[in-house]
Parts: sequence; structure tokens; C-alpha cells
Amino acid sequence: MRIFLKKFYRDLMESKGQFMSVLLVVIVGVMFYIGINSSIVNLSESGNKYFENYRLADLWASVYRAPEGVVKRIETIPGVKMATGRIVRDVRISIGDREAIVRIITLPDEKRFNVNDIQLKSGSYFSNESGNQAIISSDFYKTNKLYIGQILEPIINGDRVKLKIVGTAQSPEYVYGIKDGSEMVPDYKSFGVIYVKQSFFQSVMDYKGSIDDISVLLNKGSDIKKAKDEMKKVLNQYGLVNIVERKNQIAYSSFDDSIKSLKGMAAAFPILFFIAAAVIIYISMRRMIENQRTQIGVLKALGYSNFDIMLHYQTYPLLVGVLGSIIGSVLGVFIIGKGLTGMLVKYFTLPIQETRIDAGLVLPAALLAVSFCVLAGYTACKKELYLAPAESMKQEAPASGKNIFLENARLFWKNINSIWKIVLKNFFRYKRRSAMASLGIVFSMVLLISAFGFKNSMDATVNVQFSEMQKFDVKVNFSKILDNDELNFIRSMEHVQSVEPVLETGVEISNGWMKKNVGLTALNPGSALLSVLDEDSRPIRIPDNGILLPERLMRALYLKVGDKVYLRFYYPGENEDKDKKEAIVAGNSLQYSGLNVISSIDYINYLLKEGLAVNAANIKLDNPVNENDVMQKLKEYQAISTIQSKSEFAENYKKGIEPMNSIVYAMILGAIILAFAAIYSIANINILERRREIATLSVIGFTSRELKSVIFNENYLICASGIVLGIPLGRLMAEYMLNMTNTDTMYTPLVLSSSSYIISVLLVVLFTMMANALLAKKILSIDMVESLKSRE
Amino acid sequence: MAPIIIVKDVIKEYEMGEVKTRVADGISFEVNEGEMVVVLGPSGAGKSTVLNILGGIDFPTSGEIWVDGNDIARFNRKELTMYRRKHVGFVFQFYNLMPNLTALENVEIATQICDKPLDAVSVLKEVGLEGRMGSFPSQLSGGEQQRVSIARAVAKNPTLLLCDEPTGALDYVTGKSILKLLGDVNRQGKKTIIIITHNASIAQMADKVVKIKNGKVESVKLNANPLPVERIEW
Repeated sequence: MRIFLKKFYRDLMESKGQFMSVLLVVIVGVMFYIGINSSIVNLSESGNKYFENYRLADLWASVYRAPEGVVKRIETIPGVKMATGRIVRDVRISIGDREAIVRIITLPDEKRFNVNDIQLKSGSYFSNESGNQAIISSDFYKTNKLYIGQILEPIINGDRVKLKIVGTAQSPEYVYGIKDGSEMVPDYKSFGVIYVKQSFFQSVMDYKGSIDDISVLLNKGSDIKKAKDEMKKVLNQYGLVNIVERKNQIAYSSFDDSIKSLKGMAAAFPILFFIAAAVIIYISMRRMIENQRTQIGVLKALGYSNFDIMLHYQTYPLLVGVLGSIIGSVLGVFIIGKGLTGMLVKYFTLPIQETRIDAGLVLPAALLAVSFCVLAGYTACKKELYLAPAESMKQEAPASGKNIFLENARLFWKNINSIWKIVLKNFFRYKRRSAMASLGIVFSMVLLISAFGFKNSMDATVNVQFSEMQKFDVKVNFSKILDNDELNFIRSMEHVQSVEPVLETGVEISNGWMKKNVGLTALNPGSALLSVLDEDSRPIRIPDNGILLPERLMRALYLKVGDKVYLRFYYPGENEDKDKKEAIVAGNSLQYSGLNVISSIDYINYLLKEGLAVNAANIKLDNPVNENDVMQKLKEYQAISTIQSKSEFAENYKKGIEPMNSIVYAMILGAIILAFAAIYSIANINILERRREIATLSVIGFTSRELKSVIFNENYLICASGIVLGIPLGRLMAEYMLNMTNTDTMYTPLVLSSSSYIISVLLVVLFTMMANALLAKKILSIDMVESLKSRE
Repeated sequence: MAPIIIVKDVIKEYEMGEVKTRVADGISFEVNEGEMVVVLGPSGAGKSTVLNILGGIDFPTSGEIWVDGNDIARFNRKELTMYRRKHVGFVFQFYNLMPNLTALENVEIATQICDKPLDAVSVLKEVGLEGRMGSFPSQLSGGEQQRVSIARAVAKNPTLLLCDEPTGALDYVTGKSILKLLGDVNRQGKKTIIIITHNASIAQMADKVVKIKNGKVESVKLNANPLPVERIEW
């Protein structure tokens, strides 16, 4: 067997470039597989541990106001393991010269195990000393450069309340730190959580002995639906707003969704590389076997078994598979895995585990890689192996020529030069090989187009959201219902050009037994500062009698335009089942994030039979440079609960999606390697096989350029057919990828600009040219005398 | 009449590791326009090397090769390519046709890169392949393939035709017919032809016979009355 290894080694040395290019493709495949999967494992394991250790709730109930004692009653419901009552309230705070929103959440005065617990990061839990101690969410604390002992002054109930920072903490409840579904990426500068003593906040809010939020932890395996129904019965009398299940909780579902979309990528991308590697191996092995036909016959005649010989030839794919798996695993874990996890940790706040090489991941990846390689190798040599030795020692019948279909197009065939005739004939004669070579280009195009599609779609979302929909500069929300005088007051402020009232509230929308808690945004029909678009991005007028819903909400509730739905508002006294209002679905509306019912203010007033009731306003300035001035003035206005600057919001969003670019770059890199490896190795074989033809052409007097074009034009033909197929498949892949990221609350429609197609095509052509440049030397170094000496 | 080809003191050495092999050791001879020259010698004597150098597909280590007033030994690669393209027609022992081009296309591939080629169809007719133009090499017999190969060389309308053992892979009868064809090309087409062979009988049809042995020219003989191919036996 040692001799076989020597023979293998010498065979290998004759086709180093070939070997390297297949190896590279396998490495990248394993890298993507291991990298993405190790991030998934790392993230979900860390997450699950975190959720369990700090008791992330299974159900969140939000009520208008309930006595603390109700928690005990909830705990008696079968299946409930533990319940915690809290007050949760969003308030406004000035930090430096910036405005932020903080969610105040109450915790027991003395440390106790409770649902949605916190992990203390620095400082200490509340002491007995003063009432106004506060523990700050660590990201908000770090981003705003706060310090322990600092006094913060949020505006609670219209008053400035002093809070003293005693510690920092993080909680699984805010593993994805966004305020609500309308935000797409966390902005730790503008949103954070402040934990305060329950007794203290109750007295500030005038909520003595009361709570408005109950987090419930269930026993494993208990029936969520039943527990939820029981809770409803208990809580209805206290003005139940909604009960949210864990799978719909904003932070948890964002976390879960991104793991799901990673899984989609992990399933799709590595396979492309494994298939490409298998194809290249198959083609190279076919050539090797055909060349060594006689040798195989001799070995058999000497008495080697089929198995011995097969084993010898499988050394090649085995080596590629094993070496590729080892290198790919190490690089995958430490480059892709670490990089991807690092990128995800920017979005998610959780204690992440140390990156390590996990046998549970490496083994399946290696198995996958090796079996693709060996299967290709086996397929390549099984035919020769089962020939009788005498048969395989004979020369194979010479290649036969055949007319190709293009020759029937006489006018065309007559008018092309012989180089193209050779190229076309060769391309169509070895159809299978041409198709396989094109496959590399197809996959490369798929990667490029989906990478660009991903980027285009993200960019288009930003563009439409911030310049076509939101035309206001500043948006303010009030902690109470707004009257005309207040609107006029804002309107009269210096630098304010126009103000439009908005009603924002929550609502339960139902169709039969199907219901969903969503947001509601009511605008004046002629709203100019917040344009409503339909799902084809065309501006539409807000209907006078009907509501607009995003398509995905209509689908979820089995609705179509013209159907009737019921809206249940949460206003006290209006929130019983009997108070449901009937409304008509008038059309769809484009919403990238969150789920909102859009309607006119008049229509809501008509449904509720009340006068003007708005609680927010969109403001347009005469000149955006005055934004700071106006924001400063609005800050004085204590009835305002939140002030948002669109430019800051847009800036944060753009910054938030920036890390996604690295995914795009990784995909482009993968595409380069695929295209390059496929073209290079297949053309390499082509050259080896056709030395004699090339030498003959050279003798006849073909110039170097003409000789090269015989091979290169075939590569361009392969490239072109790959492009033609790759474009629609790439589009499909991009759609699949975005669908994986689209969720209930997040929606990114596929946008693919024509320049992306053009760039993808240019890149693939460029890779082909690069491979050609490397091949040129091989073509020109063919020795005429040597190649023509005798029959091969 | 001035000779069209002058080969002067051509030396060719191959280096195989540390061993230097001299395959051509000062070869000189001349060829006149329209002559049929047979270069004769046993295998390994260095005759193919001379032909390759003359055809511009190999370089001499030293020496001069004057063709039509140019010393091709001093040509660079590019000039050699143009030389092959315009002045040389090659016929090989193993034909070297493009397997996936038809007979006609195999000829056209040569004619399309020349300045004043002959018509591919009529040349194929002349070599007796009128009915086989659309056939692929694998569908042709050895003799027919060699005819295509000769047609390819002739159709370029080259200054000289170089044939390396053109009958080496053919049976007696077919080989004779190929030689007859070459003889016709020489006499009727007035082409200068150099044929390399180890078969001494073939020398009887030549105007000039150059014998090579151990890399040296052993003798150059003029043949006052070359025999027609039909009368040669071997």
C-alpha cells in the first residue's frame, strides 16, 4: 500500500492547482456550515440557559390596575409555577442634551426570586436606605456613560423624580433591547430599562398596593392556552389589556427569529459549496481515471482487487474531504463563528459562552463534506473499475465527432470563424461537463445576487421608511389626550412649519375566533408628514370609512379587502367584549416593522363616538438645522412623554444594520472562490485533455492570442450560460433569504436594483477573466514537439 | 537557381538533468524551390529534430536556417508563429486532426488564418475526399485522415510542405496512395516538399536524398531520374 500512496502523491503533484481549488471550495463550505451552526448553537444555548436561570416569563399580562393580591390568585391557577406583579411604565428622561425613553419596572424592595429576574452586572441591589434607588440596564448605562451614585431625573406623571443609580443589570426580558415593535434595531442611547423599588414607585404613581403587569412562569409542559384563559377570567375585571405569550414577546421573538433565519442560511449556503466541490472532484477524477485506464487494467492483471484499486483512487476525494473539514472547521469556528457571534452580540444582550470547536458540529460537517467528495469520486471511477482487465488495458475508442444543433442554423454557422466553431462544438459535445462547470458560475451568481438583494432590500427599507413615509422631523407623544389649544401651541413655536395630529394606541383586532393585539395609528386623511403607502410603495389616501392593514396581518387573520373585522379598544369602560367595534378593511398598507391598523382620526372618532382624541403629533420644521432648538423647547413641556428626532432614529437604524454588511462581504468572497475554482479547475482539465489539439493549432500557425481564445471563449460561454441560469435562481434565493428574516413584526420586501444584476454579472466575468489569466501560462507552455510526437 | 532553404551547421542539444544529448550535430543541406527532398535515417538519428526546427516548432541550439531569405533560427516566438502560419504546411504521422471538426472544417481552420489560401473544398476534392467533407475524423479511415491532413497543409498554400513519416501509421497500399498524392502535389502544384522517413525505398521518388546518421549528414545525393510512386516497392 505504501507504493500506492507514493503513486498517489506523484499524481497529486501533477495537478496541484486542481487539488487546491477543490480543497478551497470544500474549506469554504465547511467554514460556512461550522461557522453559522456554531453561532446558532452558541446563541441558542446561551439564550436558553439565560432564560431559564433568570426565569423569563411564559406569559405577560398587562392590566389597567389590579391589587397586588391578584398575584396570589394567579399562582393558584393549575400549571402556574410562579407569578410576579410589577408596575411597568415608559417615561421620558433627559440625558445630557439628548432625550431618551426609559421603561421603569418595579422590583421587590428586598431581593427575592421572581419572574423576569435581573442579572446584576455591577453595584448592588436596593438597600434599606432611601426609596429612590435605581438599577439601570447595563447597555443604557454604558452607552450613556452613566456612573453609580449619579442622580437621574425622569419625568414621571408630569413631575421630575430623582433616582439614584445603585447598580446595573441585564434581564432576559430585554435580550433584544427595543421599546416596541416599531423599532427595528436596539438603540441603547435612546431606550433603556430602570428598575426601581416597588413601594417607591407605587407612591410616586399613586398606585398604593396596586400593580399593572403580571409576569407568569409556567411549569414545563403545562397547557399555555388553559392558563391564559384562566388568567383572563381573573384579570378581566381589572381592565385587562392583553396577555402576551413568550413566543410573541418582542425581545424573545426577535431572538428566536434571528436564530431561525440563521438556520435557513446554514441549510442553504454550505450545500452550494459541497455540490460545487463534488462536481469538480467528479470531473477531475473522471479525467484521471480515463488517463489511467491502462494502469488500472495492469493493476488488476497483477491481482489487485477492485477494492484495493478503488481505495487507491478514493485517496484523492478522501484527502480533500478530510483536509477540507479540518481546516474548514478551525477557520469556521474562529473566523465565521466568532465573527458572526460577535456581530449578533451587538444586537442581543446576554451572557455568551466561550467560542469552541464542538465535536457535535464538526462531525456532521466532516461527514457531509467527505461523503459529497467520496460519492463524487466513486461515481467517477465505478465504470472503469468493473471493466475486465483486458478491456481496460485496451485504448478507449477515439472520441467521435457529432454535429451540434447550431449547425442547422446554416447562416449562423457559416459566418462564425473556426475558433468559435471549435469552442461551440466542444461546449456542446461535452454537455455534462459544460453544465457542471456552469454550475459553479450559477452558484456564484446565486450568492452574489442574494447578497446584493439582501443589501438592496435593507437600503430600500431605510430609504422608503425615512424619506418616502416619514416626512416629519420630530415626533412627540403625550402622556394624555391632546386638545386643540396644545396643538396650536406647538404650531406657534418658532421654526415649526407644520404640525399634524396622530392617535396612537393599542387595539385587539379579530375575525371570528382569530385575534391579534396590534397597534393603531390614526391620521388625518390628508396626512402629509406621515405618508401611507400601499404594498407596491404607491402613496394612498387614508380611507374615510375603513381601515388599512399590512398584507401579512390580513393573511394571518384570513382577511381580504372588503371584509369586516372587530376592533376592541383598551380604554377603561370600552374594553369589554360587548364594546367591540365593527370596521371594514379598505386596503393594504406598507409597514416594515410592527403591525398597525391605519385609519383616519374621524373614522376612529365615529367608531368610538367621541370627539377629537389624539395623543401624538408629527412636526415639520422650517429647516432641519433648528431641530435641536425645537427639541429643547419641547422638552420643557412636561405633558410630552416622548420626543423623537427622525434623523437620530434613521441614523441609529442605519448604524444598526451596518454589521449585516459583513454577511454580504462573506457571501461575495464565497462567490469569488466558487466561480474561480469552477472555471479554473474545469478549464485546466480541458487544457490537459486538448494539448494535442492546441499543439496542432499552434503548428498550423495560430497565434498565442488565438490559441488562448480557443479555451477562453469556452470559459466565457460557460460563464454566460451560468449567468443566464444564475439570475433567476439568485432572485429566488434572495427571496428565500428575506423570507427567513421576515416575521410577524418585521417585513423587508425584496428589492433588487438593476445595478446589482450588472455588478454581479461583471464580477462573475471578472472572476472568469482572472481564472483565464492564470490559465494562459498553461496554454502557452504546451510543448508542440512533445505533444505531437506520438499517439496518446 | 538559388536554394530556397539553406540549413547550415545546425546543432541541437537537449539537457536531461546533468546529461546533455546532442541530437543534431552540425547538420547542413540545401533545398531548391519545387524540389522533393527525402530525409532518410534510422530512428533517433535526429531527422525529426531537423524537420521540427525547419517547421518553426523547435529551436536549434546553434546554426542557421535560411528560408526564403530569412534566418528563422533568429526568429522570436511571434515571428515563428507568423512563419508557420504563412510558409509551412505540416503533415504528421498521426494526422493530428481536430476530433470534433468535420473534414472540411479541419481544412478551413487552416485556410482562415492565411493570406492567400486555396479553396478548402477544391483541395479536398483534389485529395479525393469529395464525398467525405462532412465526416468527422472518427468516421474516416487512416488513409482518409491523412488525406485531410495533407489537404489542410496544402490548402494553406505554404512555401514548403513538411511531412514527418506520413505513411508510418498506414498499411502498404494506403501508404503508397498517400505518397502518390504527395508526388502529385509536388509535380503539379510545384510545391517544395520535405519528407522524413526511415523507409529507404521511398527515397527513390525524391529529387534529392539527405541521409542522416547519429545527428550528422552522412550524404546528400541528387536523383537524376526519380521513380514514379507506382514503380516503387518495399
